[in-house]
This record gives sequence, C-alpha cells and structure tokens, in this order.
Amino acid sequence: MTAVRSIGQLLLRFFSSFGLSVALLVLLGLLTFLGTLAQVDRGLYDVQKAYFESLFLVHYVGNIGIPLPGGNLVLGLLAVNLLVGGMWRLRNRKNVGGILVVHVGILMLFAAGLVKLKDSDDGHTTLYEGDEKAYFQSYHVNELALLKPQADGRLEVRTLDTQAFETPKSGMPVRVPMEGVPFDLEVTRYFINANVRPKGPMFNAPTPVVDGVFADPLARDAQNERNGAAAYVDVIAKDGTRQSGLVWIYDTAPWTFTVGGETYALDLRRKRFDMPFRVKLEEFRKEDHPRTGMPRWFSSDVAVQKGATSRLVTISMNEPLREDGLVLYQASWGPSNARPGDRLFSTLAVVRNPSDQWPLYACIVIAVGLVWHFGRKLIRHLSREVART
Amino acid sequence: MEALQRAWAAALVGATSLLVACGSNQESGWSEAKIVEPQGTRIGVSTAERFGMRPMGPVTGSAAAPADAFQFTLPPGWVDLKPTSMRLVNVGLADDASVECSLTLLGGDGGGLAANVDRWRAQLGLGPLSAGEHEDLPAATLLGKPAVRFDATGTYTGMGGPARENFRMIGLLSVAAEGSGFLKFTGPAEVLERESANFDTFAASLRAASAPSASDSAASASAATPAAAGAPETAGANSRDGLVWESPAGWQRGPDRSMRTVTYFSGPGGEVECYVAVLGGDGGGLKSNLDRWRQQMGAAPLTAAELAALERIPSLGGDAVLIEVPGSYRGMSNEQVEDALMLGAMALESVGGAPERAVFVKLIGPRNLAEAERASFRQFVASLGSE
Repeated sequence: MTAVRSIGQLLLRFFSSFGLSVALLVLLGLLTFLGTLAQVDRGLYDVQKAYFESLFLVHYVGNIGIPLPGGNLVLGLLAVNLLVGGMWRLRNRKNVGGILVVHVGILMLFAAGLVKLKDSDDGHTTLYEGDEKAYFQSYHVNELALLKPQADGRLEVRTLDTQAFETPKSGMPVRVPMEGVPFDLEVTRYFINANVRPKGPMFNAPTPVVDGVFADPLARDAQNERNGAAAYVDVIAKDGTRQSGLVWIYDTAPWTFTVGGETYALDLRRKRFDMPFRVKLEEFRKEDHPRTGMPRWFSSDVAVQKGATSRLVTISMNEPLREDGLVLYQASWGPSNARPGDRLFSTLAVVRNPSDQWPLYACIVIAVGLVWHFGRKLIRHLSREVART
Repeated sequence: MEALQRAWAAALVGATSLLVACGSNQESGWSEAKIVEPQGTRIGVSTAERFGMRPMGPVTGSAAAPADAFQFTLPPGWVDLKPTSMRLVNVGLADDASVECSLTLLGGDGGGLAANVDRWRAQLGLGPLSAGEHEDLPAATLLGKPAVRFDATGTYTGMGGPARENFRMIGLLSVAAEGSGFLKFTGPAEVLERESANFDTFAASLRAASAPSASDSAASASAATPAAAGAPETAGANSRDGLVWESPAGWQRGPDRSMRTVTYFSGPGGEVECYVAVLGGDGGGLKSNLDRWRQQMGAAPLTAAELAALERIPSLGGDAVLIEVPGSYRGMSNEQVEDALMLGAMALESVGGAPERAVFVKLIGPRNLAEAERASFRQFVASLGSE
C-alpha cells in the first residue's frame, strides 16, 4: 500500500513538475524548428500530419533516424502538466486565484486546438459568376462517391473516404462490400498521384487501358493539394460479371455504368461537405495596382440563400462571412491569365470549426487572470508603500 | 480555496471526457445515402470527354461493331465483359481477372499471318517461328473462316503492364486480305490448361448476330466472315478543321487528341497510329519538320540533295512531300520502339503565294505492320483536300 502510494506520489510529482514543463516546451520548439525545415522536402500537409498531428515520429538527419515525440503527445502531456500542476503545486498556497484562472485560459487554448484537430472541416468552394453551390470541398482528402440518378433529376449519393482502400499493403485489390445495390466494388489499383493519358500504339501502358486511356502513376508531390489521385474500380454484379472503370480526381464527370438495368456513376473527388445554405456568386470584383496584373484588392458579392430567403453579402480579404458555424474567407481568384472581359472565378476558403472563437475567449480569461493576480500584487505593494510613508 | 480545487478537478474530468469524445470520432465505411441536387454533376459522359479530350466528330460508317454484334455461348464460370473499341467480344473468368479472352477484327490482312503469330510469340518472350513451323500450325475455324490455332507459354507482357511468368496464350487467327479475325485467350498456364476445352467450345459458338449458328446449317461457313461480322469500317468521307479526307478501309478512328485533327489506328492490335496535325503558316518549314521526324527515328538530318529527291504526290490542291524513315522510334512522351517505320507527309496550302497552313500526316508503327499500311497511307494523303 505504501509502495503504491509512493508510486502515485512519484507520478504526481513528475506530471506536475516545472522540469517537465520546460522539457515539453523545449520539445515543442524543436518540433517547430525541425518541422519547418522538413517542409522544404515534404510539403506543409505531410509535415503537419507527421510532426504535429502524431504521437511519435522519426526525423531523419541524412540517413540517421531520430525518434521524437509528436505534437499530439507533447501537447497532451503539457495539458496534463498544466492540470495536475494547477491542482497539486498550488493546492496549499494562498492568493493563487489569478494564476488558476490563467491556467484555465491556457487549457481553453489546448481544448480549442483539440476540437479543431478532431472536429473541424476546411476546404474551399470555387464559383464563377452566376454559379451557386451548397457544398465546399477539401483541399486534401479524397472520397469515392456512388451516384444514382433519380427520376426527378436529383442524385442519390453515398460516399466512402479513400482511406478505406488507398493503402493496400499487399498490393492486392481491395473489395468494398456494398449494401442496397446489386453489386460490389473492387478497387484494383489506387494511385495517390497520377495523370490519365490516351494509350498510343507505340508504347506500353504501365497500367491497364480502359476505353483507350490509362492512369500514368506520378511521384507524390510535396504540395499535397497538387496530387491527383486515380483508381481502377471493378463493378462486380451478383452474377460475377465485371465492369472496369477508371476514375480520376481531375476528370470532368463520373464514370457511368449500368447494372441490372439501373444506371449508376462513380466519382473520385475531393471530399465534399454540405453547407446549410447555398452561396451564389453574383459578382467578383478586383482592382489592380496601376499598370500591373497584381490586384490591390478583390472581393466577392455573394447571395446567401437559406430556404426562400436570400441576402447579399460582400466577402473580402479581411471581412469573412460567418454563417451557421461556417466561416467563408476570400482566398483567391482566377484564371490568373485571364484577359480583360474574361469570365473570372472566385475561391472562398471555408472553415467549419466549433472552437473558432475559443482562442478569443481563452485570451480574455487569461487577461482576467493576469489582471487579478498582478492587480492584487500591485494593490498590496501600494498598500505597503502607503503604510511605510 | 477548496472550491477552486473542486473546480479544478471538474476541469480535469471535463478535459478527459473531451479527449475521449474527440478520439472516438472515427469515420468508416460508406456514408448514409442522401438525395442532392446534381450541382453540375453530369451522368453518362463519354470517356473522351471525361478526361478532357475533344468529343469525336461525325464519322462516316460505323467506328465499331455494336456490343451485340456477336452471339456466343459462355462456358460455366465465364463472364461477359464490356466490349472496347478494339475488343468486339470481351469475356473472362469470374474468379480470375488475369484471364482475358477477346475477339479483334480488321479489314485487311493485318500484316499477314506469320507476322501476327510471331508478334504474339514476342508478347510471350518467345522468338519467331521458322517457315516450316508456321506451316505446321494446326488448322482451325474462326467465325466460319479458315484459321490457325496458336498455343504457347512464356512470360507474357501483352500490350503493357508487368511481365507475368508462366502465362499461356491460346488463339485463333483467321487472316485474309478481305478481313481478318483474331481470338486471343491469355492467362496463367494452369488456369488455361483447365479452361482449354471451354475455350474451344466458346470459339465454336462464336458467330455474328446476323449469321445462323454453326448448328443451323452448313451455310454458316460463308456467312460469318470477319468482314461480314462487323469488322470496323471507317472508310468514307470525313471532315474537320477545314480538311476533308477519305479514311482507308480497316483504319479505326481513335479518340480525338489535342493538336490533332484526327487519329487512326490500324494493325491487328492497333499498333500502327496515323494522325493529321495542322499548323498555321509554313509550320516551321519543310526541312526542320522532316529533320525533327528523322531525329525521332534516330536518323541524321536530310541533306539538300536528299530533300530534293523526296517523292511528292498530289494532295490538298498541291503536292505533299512524302518521307519514310526506318529506325528506332522515340516519341515526345519518351515512348520507344526499336524496329519501327515512320511514314510522313507534309503539305502546304497557300493563299496568294503565301503559305496559309501546313498539314502534317504521320504514320508510325512496328516496321512490318507499318509497311503493310504504306498503300493505305498514300491513299489517305492523296485524299486530303480543303472544305
């Protein structure tokens, strides 16, 4: 019993120690430094996943691998350190109310980061003038969408994240069981990055040729959003009949096939997220610096349609639209080589983050804690000085 | 102070709960079905359009046989796959996707029987047969026409993809000047050993949809020729980009490509490609273009005497300069064929003495197959005119 208590005490001291705080902060600084360097070769998205959204990682200096704790582990331990330290180290001290409040504020920052990591979506919606959409799509995550046209012209859609089949370690086809449709799917090949080319007679295609085209695998691009995934998919009817198709992130329409007299389509695309309203780009405006093609400012006039109501909103670079938990920022425009009079498009970055405003609240709490703590010290100091004189 | 500590403990519990809740946010499997507006999604779009190629223009004649142009009896365990532009019949095994069986038809002799047999052997990593061995190939029947039976095992590379060892190929080749048919069955040797009899049954059942079955009458032998069975015929007048031309019999029109007016394929497996491209003005000049083609074949630039000696035939209201370059072909996409032949033609259209546009016709393929298309190529070039 005594041994257990002493181990508990040991753990308590460890997790509440200043030494652990300092070590974790140093590790955070190191991860930031190494992660920044690694972006040169691996790109932002990959490094973010490997260095900051991980428990462990191996950083290579030349051929030498250095194991390191990942950002999730370091920040998790730091949060525990703050919590336990706040309870244990300050338990018998007086007049620490302000410090505890500051701790709460910092923990709110951690919580905001955790919620952002686990329960947020981000992407973009790109619109030409006159276009309207009720979804935004990810920059990085792909999905396979099975579409079934309905009699009223709409589509029945079900989606599957490509993580379900994009890393078959055995290299074998991945069978995707289906429910509610008279076929199964088998992803026979998946490429993170590929080009689709027409098969010519004078060269051998490295992959199967489907309807005269084939997927030409490319090296993974460090800029993850540039990677254009492609997949060969077999549709296997219940009687064993197979139909093979090729789907690609950059194709302009899904692959259409028929099973049992019903028409279906498969679309490999960036993951889409529904918005609870429609956005229609009424007008995109920009003003260039004199005698240059560099815009001084640009903004989008959009109609936000919810049910039968619609209102006009201007989204500009520092004035996002906040609506129903989504934030729409003016991100970019194009085509970059557009000539005067050409039709332009506007890209709005869209973020759904339940903890969007938490950092602001956390900073207010921290400020209150600091004012409380140092205000009390100031008052005590002034009281002493007054008493002395 | 105790109240503060209790609040602190509550914060610890709350944070732990948050961690657990967020950690359990895993997505797996298909999402629930939902009904959405199309929002620009188009169903039923052709492959060419999906991948950014121009939609094909009108073609006189039928570019490919309809999917139901043939009738056959599928052996047990076999499945009917979707026909492609070259595979007019496309079947396989339900339990083994590596096994393929397809029928290809051509309008001509496809380069001849021996060349095609040796080409199939080359796909298995085997050397060509001697003249005597060619003569000893067993006789068979395909679509009611005399054929030979091919059967060999080796390391299969086919038209692309990784080499597959211990693959067997069984095939029937019916080669004739008026039309040829090729039925090809490939797969792992042990599987084909098991399915060999089924292949024979399948081949015997294969007939044109309009022809009577083999069991109906002896007349089937004359009715189901490859040409009658829906061999691709694109012969006829065509036009695009201000050009008109007659496409030779047996040439298969391919998907449209950027920078090209039209692309055709010929040869037993579509190995020979011929296309037309148009550039404004003089297109960079005759010699520089011909030298560029020669460079693709590993040949030295033309001398002035060689350039002057090149044959010219009437085309586009003037003359087209013809060139033939044998050699090792290396194209712009780094594709390479060791023993290839290029047939090229360049013609200039002028208005008021100034060149208005340059028309290039280029045919490239394995030497033996490209040579077989020489007459068709010349006919094609000569048929070019302005709209």
